[in-house]
Amino acid sequence: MNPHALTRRLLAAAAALLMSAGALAVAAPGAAAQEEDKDTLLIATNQEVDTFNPFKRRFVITYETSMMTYETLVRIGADYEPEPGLATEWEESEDGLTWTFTIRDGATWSDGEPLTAEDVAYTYGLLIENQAIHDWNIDFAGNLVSAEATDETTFVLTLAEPSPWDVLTREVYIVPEHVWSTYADPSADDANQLPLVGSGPFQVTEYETDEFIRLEANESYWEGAPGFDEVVYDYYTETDAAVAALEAGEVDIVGNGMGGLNPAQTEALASQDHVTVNDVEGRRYVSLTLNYNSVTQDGTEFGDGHPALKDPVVRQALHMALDKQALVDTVLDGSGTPAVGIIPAIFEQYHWDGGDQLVEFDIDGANALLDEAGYVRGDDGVRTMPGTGERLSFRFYQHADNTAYATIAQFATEWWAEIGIEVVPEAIEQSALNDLAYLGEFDIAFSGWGVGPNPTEQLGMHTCAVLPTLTDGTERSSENNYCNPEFDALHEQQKVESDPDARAELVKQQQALMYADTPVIYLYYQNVMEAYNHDRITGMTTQPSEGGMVTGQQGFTWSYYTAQPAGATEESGVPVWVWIAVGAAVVVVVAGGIWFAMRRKSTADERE
Amino acid sequence: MTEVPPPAGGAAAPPAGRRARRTSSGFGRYLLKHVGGAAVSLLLVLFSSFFIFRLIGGDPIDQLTRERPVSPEQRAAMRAEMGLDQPMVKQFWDYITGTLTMDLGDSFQYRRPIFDLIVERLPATLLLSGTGMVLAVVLGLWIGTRSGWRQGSRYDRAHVGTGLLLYSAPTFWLGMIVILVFARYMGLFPVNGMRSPSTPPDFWSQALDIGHHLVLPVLTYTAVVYAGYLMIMRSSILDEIGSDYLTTARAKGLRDDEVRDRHAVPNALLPTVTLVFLAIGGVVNGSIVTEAVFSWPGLGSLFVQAIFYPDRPVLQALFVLFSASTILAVLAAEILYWFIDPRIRKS
Amino acid sequence: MTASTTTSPRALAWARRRQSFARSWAAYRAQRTGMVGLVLLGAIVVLALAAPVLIDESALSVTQATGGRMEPPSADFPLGTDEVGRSVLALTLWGSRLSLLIGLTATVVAILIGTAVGVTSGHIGGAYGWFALRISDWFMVLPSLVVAIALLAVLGRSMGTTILVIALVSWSGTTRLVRAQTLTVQARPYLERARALGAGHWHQMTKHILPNVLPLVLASATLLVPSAILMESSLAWLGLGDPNVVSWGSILNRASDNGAVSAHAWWYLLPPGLAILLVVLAFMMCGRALEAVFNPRLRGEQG
Repeated sequence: MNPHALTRRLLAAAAALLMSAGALAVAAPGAAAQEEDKDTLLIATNQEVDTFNPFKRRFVITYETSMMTYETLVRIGADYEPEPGLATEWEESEDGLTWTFTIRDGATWSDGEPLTAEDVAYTYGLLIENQAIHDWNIDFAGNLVSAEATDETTFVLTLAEPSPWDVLTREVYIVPEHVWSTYADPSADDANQLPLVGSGPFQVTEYETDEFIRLEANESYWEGAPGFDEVVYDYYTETDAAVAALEAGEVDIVGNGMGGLNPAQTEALASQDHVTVNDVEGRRYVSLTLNYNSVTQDGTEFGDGHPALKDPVVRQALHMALDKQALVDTVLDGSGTPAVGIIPAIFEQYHWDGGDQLVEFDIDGANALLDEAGYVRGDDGVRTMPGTGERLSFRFYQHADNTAYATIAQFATEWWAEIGIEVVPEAIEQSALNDLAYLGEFDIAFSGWGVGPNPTEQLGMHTCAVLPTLTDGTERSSENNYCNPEFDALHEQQKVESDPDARAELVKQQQALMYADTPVIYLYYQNVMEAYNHDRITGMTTQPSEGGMVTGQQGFTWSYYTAQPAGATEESGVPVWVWIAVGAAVVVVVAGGIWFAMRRKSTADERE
Repeated sequence: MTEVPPPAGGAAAPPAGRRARRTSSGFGRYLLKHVGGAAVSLLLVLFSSFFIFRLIGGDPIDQLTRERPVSPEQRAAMRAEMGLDQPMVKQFWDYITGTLTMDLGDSFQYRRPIFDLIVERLPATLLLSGTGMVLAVVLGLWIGTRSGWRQGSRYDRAHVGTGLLLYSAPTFWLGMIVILVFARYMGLFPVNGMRSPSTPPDFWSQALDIGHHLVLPVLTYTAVVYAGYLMIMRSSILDEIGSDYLTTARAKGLRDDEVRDRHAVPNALLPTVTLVFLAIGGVVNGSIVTEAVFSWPGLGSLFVQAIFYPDRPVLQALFVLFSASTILAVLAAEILYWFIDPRIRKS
Repeated sequence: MTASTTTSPRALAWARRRQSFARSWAAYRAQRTGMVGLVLLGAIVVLALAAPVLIDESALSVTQATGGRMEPPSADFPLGTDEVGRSVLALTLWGSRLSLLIGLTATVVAILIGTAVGVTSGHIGGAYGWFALRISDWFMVLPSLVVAIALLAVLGRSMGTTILVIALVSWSGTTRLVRAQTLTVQARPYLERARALGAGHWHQMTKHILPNVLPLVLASATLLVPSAILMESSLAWLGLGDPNVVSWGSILNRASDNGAVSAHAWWYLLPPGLAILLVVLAFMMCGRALEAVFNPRLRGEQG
């Protein structure tokens, strides 16, 4: 065979192969196709769907889709207060063990079937009887004894122990018995069959991985049909892309679904006439965990934390030498609030402001504290422990993929150097960092949680009851092995206290106790930064209702339900000039081809 | 040049095909040897992939339940569901048999079969790096031929200079600059992604929309990669330029460009063929950085996402896929060389 | 090849080496691009070494930063500021130290591994040679960026692991080069003579083979450095570098994480990227010139 001809043929074949692969991709199924006359609310997201099964979903995105598709008996109001949802009223028995709910008359499923107390009983029954669902939700389901519908509109729930706030705030999404009873295993992903049948304002009807999730409005929603005909979550991998899409009018809301915006992005968006930037208090805190008490329930110590951290004075000094306001100003560009306790300021009723215990940024004060306690500076400027003489040099672990943490680490390193404490920041993969943290093999590490409307969840991670029983770091229930019997006593009290104000007081006392012990230094509460196209949407209820957030709402999607189309039409995806350019390119290519062919022909003629 | 282009240095790294030792007699032995080598490499990849990613550590449950408290019971339930409670040997066996039967398991983050994920994302990658590679090869060979033919001319110097300059630019940086200039300042192209959601669903609108999104990533990819082909082709032409057969051809009275296109180019193409085949192997994994800059929904961004998650089953599968594609491409190039380069057969 | 009776063999060898070096240098000097590259490279290295003199290290401190958030260039900050208000000029200048250090160290490690494996596998051969060849072939066919990303994710992020990982994905090319050269040298008559005179493996490898492969290794090293620097910057940009150090790649990683593209903060993106481009270009120019020196066919082609 002639190698040259072969070469050329192979090259051509390779090119053709690749081109046809390309064509294949182009012909792939289209993205969120819309019909002209529908009002669509387009929300940018980057989070994949774990499962649409409301009992097992863990992700933020499916939290939102569950919240829209299904409903709870009691929903969380725009100001984080429990308010009637599917239940119009409820009553707690004297001993707190029996709850009687009156189910809303006239609520229907999206397939038209009426919603009754039977559906509610079926749903709670799954939590009690279906082993997998029970295990999955054990923290709540473990306390349930029975669930029954005494008539069409009355549902009675019996508990093993009183737990009023769990009952009121726990998101148990009521599912339709007539659909779910046909599933072989309601705990499996089969319970994902689209379209979902629910009673909420929007139901998931269509989902393409990494393309879109479509939810259609429930026209017969008991509180009235939502303003938009459908909500579509569109996938963007990069926030920058979603920002550009918002600028171009291709997406309506960018926020929590993309993990929030950064200051540079909000700045760029603020200059757009059609965009409202919402920079408001959020539910998330960022904290530094101090490894001072790695012990199991039976008192076995584990891990290799620095002994100096056991001294409250050292923890206090570390705390004092952090200028939280400066961190908020530089790292967050002012979009946050310096933190005090574990409950962010957005939950006004439970947030504790520090009172006269508040630790202020004071390098000199921190130095004085350490001097008094006998930590003497060595020749290298680093203090040593009285007695053992061990240097105050701490390992400082941060999540490697978070550049904000790297900046905070640098700030902290410089401040702490001023008080004679050396820290060695090290960036570690999130998963590896978790391993080390639960094994107690660190000194200081970053942490952060999103806090829900029920403070029990976060406070519960700091009780003696969740200390590990093993030293292998596999039980990951305790945030920092904090254990204070006084704190636990308050915790048990607040769990069963039905009076909201009295409970809030207890929760604040818990925070004050923990603040004094300093097992964790709370750095700041991060703002939610989101933006939406106000030419397309109007009337969204925020949470909290005054200056609150649009994305990342809890307990009910107030914003999407109340959103009304504002009338402006959206732009088409491809500008006109592209069509012209493509036309021109085609002409050039065709002309070139003809010219080339002619030339070939003429040289061939010459050769003859 | 971080996108696995061919070496711009040219002579420093001989094309892979040449390393074939010329002691084998007969195609059968030659084939057997190379297929055997590739099989060993593939097995090594298959085994190492399982163990490497197990070293990442971490409990996948932490990721699934991020920022939500979980009880040990919930943890156990989730572990059981994901098959993480199985003994290591069992997991290894399932992995090996699964991979060989195209059952790659489920992704931690997507909770879906990885095979489906790959099938969904492969076309996007092929479109981006395939188009980019074809352009780079055509551009590189075209300019390289002319550059070498007129060595030292202004044309040659200008093109070698430009090529080297672009070759020296970090892909991700070039991509960001291209986005800044063409998408953000001038607004001519979308910032990133592959399609706009608002595009009508009909085929032509979709195709045009994708094409519109494709321009900047392909531009970036091609710009960084083409210089490699340029250099190889150029030095290949330089090798041929003094040959007697060209003098003969000229003596026959052929025009200069005819001598070049009919005689010099076909011979000079020889060494580039292997290169092109290697590049085809690289098409599957060749655009990780470009995909990351432009949020192109291909295998590259899936890989990067999986690293940060970390989504072990996806990493395992993609590592095997990426490595297998280059190993097989090298094998193809080696086999091709038997037919193309007579020197191998003679020895 | 005639041995003089008045000089020792060692001195003779040195004289010969000096001579050949002078010849090579003359050939190198004749190439304009090579010289331009060398001067450029020299300037960059001098700047990197002089960074502490030019700009005090305190310019990298976040608590002492005086600028605003991503300020455009001004008299105080000729290249603007980053998201915490530090001078981008200072960052870029200081970043050069780490980027160069990582690039050079990774190359040295890669060359060491590559040469050691190449010489030993070529010289010793046998089962070891076969095994070494298979391993280096394996590394050769694996996609390097994919392997580097995977290994970094597994080994953790630090300067040390970055260097190690880059070295691991780039040593195999050198091995192949060195092995081929070793086999060529091996076949030369004087090595047979040396063997007949009872020279051991060590002696043969260090005294005869190494000096012969070294020039080639050095030439290829100049082309390895730029790819190491590019690889480092890509890894750091992807977020796989150590975020606590200042390298060009990590500066760009912070820039894109903080939305420099959305904010049109070109002053934050251009300097570190251009710096990478210049260094890589300088190394490539030198490398190509060196190659031409050792491969005369290409000589003079770069006018």
